[in-house]
Amino acid sequence: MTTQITTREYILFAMFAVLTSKIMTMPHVIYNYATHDAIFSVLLNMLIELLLVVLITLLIAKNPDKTFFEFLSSKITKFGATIVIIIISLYLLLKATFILQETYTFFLHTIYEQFNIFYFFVPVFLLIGYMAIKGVRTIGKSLEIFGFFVVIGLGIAFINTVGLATFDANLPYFRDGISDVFAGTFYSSFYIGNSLVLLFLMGKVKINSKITQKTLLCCSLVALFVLIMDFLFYDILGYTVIYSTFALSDLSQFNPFVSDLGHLSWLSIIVGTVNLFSLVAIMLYSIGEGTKQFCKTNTATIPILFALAIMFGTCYILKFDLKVFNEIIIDYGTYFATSVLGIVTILLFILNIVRRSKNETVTKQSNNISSNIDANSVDAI
Amino acid sequence: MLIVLTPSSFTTPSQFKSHAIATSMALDTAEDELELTIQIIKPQPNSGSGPKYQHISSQGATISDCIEKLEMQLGRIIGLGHCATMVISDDVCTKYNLLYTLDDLIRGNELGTNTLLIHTMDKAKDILTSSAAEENNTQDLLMDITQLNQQLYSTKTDLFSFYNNSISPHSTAIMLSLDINNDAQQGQSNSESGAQGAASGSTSATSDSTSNSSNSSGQQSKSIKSQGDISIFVDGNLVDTLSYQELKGFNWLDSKTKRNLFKLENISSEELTNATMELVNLGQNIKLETSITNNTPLIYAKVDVRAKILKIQDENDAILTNQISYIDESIQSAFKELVQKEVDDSIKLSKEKNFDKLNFYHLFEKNHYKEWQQYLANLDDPDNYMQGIQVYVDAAITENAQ
Amino acid sequence: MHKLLNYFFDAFEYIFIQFDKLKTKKGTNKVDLQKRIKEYQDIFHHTCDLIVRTFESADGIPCALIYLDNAVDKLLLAESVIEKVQRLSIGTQGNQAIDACEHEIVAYVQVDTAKDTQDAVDSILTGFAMLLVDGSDKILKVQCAKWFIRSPSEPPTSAVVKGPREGFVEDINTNLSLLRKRLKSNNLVIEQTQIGRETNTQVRICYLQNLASPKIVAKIREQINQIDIDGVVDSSYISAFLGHNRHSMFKQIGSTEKPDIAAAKILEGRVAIMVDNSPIVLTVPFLLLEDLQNSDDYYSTPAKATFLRWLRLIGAMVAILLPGIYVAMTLYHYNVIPIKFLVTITNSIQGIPLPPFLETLFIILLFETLYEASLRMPRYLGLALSVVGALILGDTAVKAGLISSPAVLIVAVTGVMSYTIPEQSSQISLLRIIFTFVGGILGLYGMIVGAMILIAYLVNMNTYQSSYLAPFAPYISNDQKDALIKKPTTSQITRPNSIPNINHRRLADENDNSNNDS
Repeated sequence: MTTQITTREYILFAMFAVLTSKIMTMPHVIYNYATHDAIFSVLLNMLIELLLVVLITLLIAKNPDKTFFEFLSSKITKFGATIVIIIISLYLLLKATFILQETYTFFLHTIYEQFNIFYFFVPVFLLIGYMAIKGVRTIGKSLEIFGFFVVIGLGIAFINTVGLATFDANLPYFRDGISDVFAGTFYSSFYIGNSLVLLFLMGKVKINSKITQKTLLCCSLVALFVLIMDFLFYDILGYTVIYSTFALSDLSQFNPFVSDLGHLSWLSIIVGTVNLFSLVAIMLYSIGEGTKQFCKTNTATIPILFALAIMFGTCYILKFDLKVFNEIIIDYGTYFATSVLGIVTILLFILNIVRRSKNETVTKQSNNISSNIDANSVDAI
Repeated sequence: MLIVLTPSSFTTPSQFKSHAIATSMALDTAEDELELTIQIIKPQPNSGSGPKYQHISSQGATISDCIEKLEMQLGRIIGLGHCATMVISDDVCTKYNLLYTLDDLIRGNELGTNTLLIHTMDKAKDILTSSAAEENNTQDLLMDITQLNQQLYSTKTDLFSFYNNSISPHSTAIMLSLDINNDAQQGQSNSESGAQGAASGSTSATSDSTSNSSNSSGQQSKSIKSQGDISIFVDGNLVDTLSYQELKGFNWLDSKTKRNLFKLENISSEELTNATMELVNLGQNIKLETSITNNTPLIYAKVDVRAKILKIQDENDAILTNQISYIDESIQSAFKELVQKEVDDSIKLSKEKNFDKLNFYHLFEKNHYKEWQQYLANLDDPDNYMQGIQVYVDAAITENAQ
Repeated sequence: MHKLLNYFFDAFEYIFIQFDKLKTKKGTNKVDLQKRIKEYQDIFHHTCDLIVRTFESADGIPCALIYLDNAVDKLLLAESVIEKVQRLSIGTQGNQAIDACEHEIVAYVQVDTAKDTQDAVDSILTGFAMLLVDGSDKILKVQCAKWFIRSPSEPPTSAVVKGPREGFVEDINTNLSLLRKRLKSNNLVIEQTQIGRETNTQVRICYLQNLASPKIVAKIREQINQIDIDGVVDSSYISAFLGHNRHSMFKQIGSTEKPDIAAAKILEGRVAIMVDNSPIVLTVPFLLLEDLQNSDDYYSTPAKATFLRWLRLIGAMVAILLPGIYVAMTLYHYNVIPIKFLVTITNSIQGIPLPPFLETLFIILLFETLYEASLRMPRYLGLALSVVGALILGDTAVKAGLISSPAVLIVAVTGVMSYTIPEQSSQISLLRIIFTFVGGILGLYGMIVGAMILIAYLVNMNTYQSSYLAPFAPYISNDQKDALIKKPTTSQITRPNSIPNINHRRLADENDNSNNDS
């Protein structure tokens, strides 16, 4: 019996994918291209992300018993499936590496004067490696706990910044047409597409009858929060956005909540770290799951360890410098990301509308969440 | 990993020992260089009393240069994470462009965005050291003064605001200006500052904020004087330091200001003959409508004020004790005239000095973008856009908060 | 004349009895009984507390009673066995003699025949007395154990303000009676087994047959039967064999010293395991949430219970994380500390010779040593130790400038807070030290990553079809009524879904009034 996550945990996966990396450097990058219309680029990005979430969730709901590799193999042959999975895995590997590098710089920017690279990478590799190797169930249950802290932390860190907003700092919009909006979206395309990790959850989710609607609703709330947060960021910081690399920490510094107790930027640091590392663990798991299918290994441990080594190696080669990363991402990663997203989106559209063949039978599981017997633990006995 | 990393961590000293934690900074000029004075926490072992501080100075070409020299002098790293105030002398503002001078502080992530900037005509170091004993803290006092001004007169004067305003199109940033009160007598300086406060309209809180004491060397006492003066910067360059009275007109057009004192003269009604009234503004609702007609930007300001009558004096300066419970037409018209006059004076000043304190640029840009761009294009010097702006005010006291 | 006749009749009866005795004595194989007595003495290595009491029945049949001194109720043996046998004639020989004793002579409720010598030996060890009759291969065993038993009293680790105060004791039978008193149900099943080659400790598995998952019961039974150990001294020996992650520092088997708690857990579908000579009854499956709950919560108002549960959780989190955060802040993140606190801490740590990391570790270890010593110290020295600990170590050391007062305060406060959940206090203490290390080496980042690793580790633990962090991970909405928020008992309509059980219904539905009436 394979390990399966509940619908609720799947929704948490989706929410984390939508939220993470949208509230760190993405707002700053978008502003460089879209300036006053940056919020519309953010809106467009979130819509694309939600579209991906919906397409993937529909696919998962229709094919509850197959893994993504098995499903693709049945549609576009094994070779095609292998190519697609390699590309997506590479994409996720690059994103995960970037997120780690971003987090390292984030800590240097906020609370550390100096930060030894090994001090950073060894613990985080332990964490994400452990979570990824233990499997989707462990990650899913961990997100149930982390999600609670992320919600509370974000609420406290930003709730009072609303009072500082003037709501007109970037007016008028579209002063130079809408091309800036698309430019902002294009050059920030690397930050969207986290939802692709959900593809590797296919076959591992206990399908609920309204999984798509619930996922869309919850992810829309997250997208709304991202929009509000980025709006506040652009509104309150105004022209100094160009100097603010990390929206999460820079915005929370303005919170006048408890001025005698200091700024609440440290709370945002906790929230951001939990968010980022959780997503990297999910990405690492996805890479392991994806590659183990065609590597024909029973466990994903070796692919995961291999991916970790590549991540560290990439950071090492690029000298752990976020600026270098950013340049490479903007110059090359953008095109790669846009291509991958475009191809995957079209592929998902086609796969969703293609009729099922007569030989395929879809079995819907009746999910009794109230009984909630842990499938993984049956194997533990 | 723990086994490898632990031994070194065992011996890592506390940052309180390796760092000198700065709570305030002062920037002056010394010959051709900058002189940076910082106020650092002086640890008092097992002390139950309040914190003690010490002041140290060094000179250098840039702020970073000064900090480096201070670190060499102290043997500790200067920690700016808790630096809440920065006083800049007029010499520095005149000689240097503050945007460039403060650039490394802004780009670096250590100094908080909420660090308050204060301008002074005197030596900035004296502001820091103006308290009695040299080791007493002036940071709290400076913060109290600045935050009070911020609340009452909407003079947001922190590092972030300064930078944000300076690099935005209207380029105008402001800073609260404080001075040293060098009067020898304690009582005299108190009453003087109190009288000045009443005359200039500053609140009792401002006059209370002076502190008088003598330092350990027995020199003449110094105190901080705050009269609501504002220094205006355009593109990081100091334009002028204007008094509270000169800037009152802007306060009428800013909905965030509170507790403006104002005097109405020559009030004649059924009960009063050539009376003088002192009122306080407890809050105002402002609606600004803009239009660009015949390439002329126009602002119509509707100002509704909630006021309270403080004092009424007749033509012989006798204080009248009868209570006026209504605001009649004569008072309204006197008020309207007063507001228009003060606004006109302030706008005239801003045209002369070419600064845009209330960010009219953004007001027109967001409401009439194309027309505004056209207006700017038609100007010989687009930076001089204030010249063509006309402001009309319709002020009224809508509520008598007796 | 009448007297003379009575005299003659008594004389004849006496002669007749003596003649009978002679007759039976002729058939007596004295060597047979003695041989068997010697056999038992050899088995017990001639231990001095193996008592052999020989006597004869009224009809002269030699008998022997073998028992362990101080393990039996001697008065009972004397009245119910020896006296009865001595006054009555057995009247038969061979194995029927034992049958006659069992059914007609011995006046006691719990008598049985031993299967073989090994059974007899085992029975002697558990407080039985063996009745041997000459010429009979059978052995009658009389259950007359009278060990020294402590009377049930309130356990020191589970004190309550309101509620029952009985606690389990070392005697398994007493414990069972305490449980039966609360679960008067024919569905309460007790399965007994013996573990330990030398100790032969009785272990009883207790569950409600209509509630507990048969798979879990079968698994527990299998695991216990597989235990092959020389001795079981306490229930913790058994629990070591039952957990899945046996090297984990987190306990995976629940335990309680109170019969009301054990009954409540059995009513939720859990299985209780009683071990002789241990007052601690084990319960499986175990969830971490159980240690957040206290029996007081069920005997007081729900609002109070909710508040106290949150207090326990926050107390535990603060106890684990605060020393590490303090060390991290002072070593790496001074700018996160608010200025007023910073000034106070700066003043306090002036002149302290130790770096913050070492200082905090030193104080933690000092407190742990103090705690350990206070447990072992005789009570009359406890006061002296308190004075030494509080005044000398705390106050004087701070005044001497060896350690700083913030560090002492933090360690002391977290030490107290770690006892908001007493059952997890040892784990919390260990985690406190680990996180102090992590905070000292890696700072706030290390604390965050460490906490994430801890949570990931805990969610990965599964015992007996239950997730360790249920009902939080996985989130089970039905069980939130008795998790961090305690709702009234009237809301607990179903049993917790975190524990597998075969009957979810707990309360009657309001619509089922007709059934109740009938």
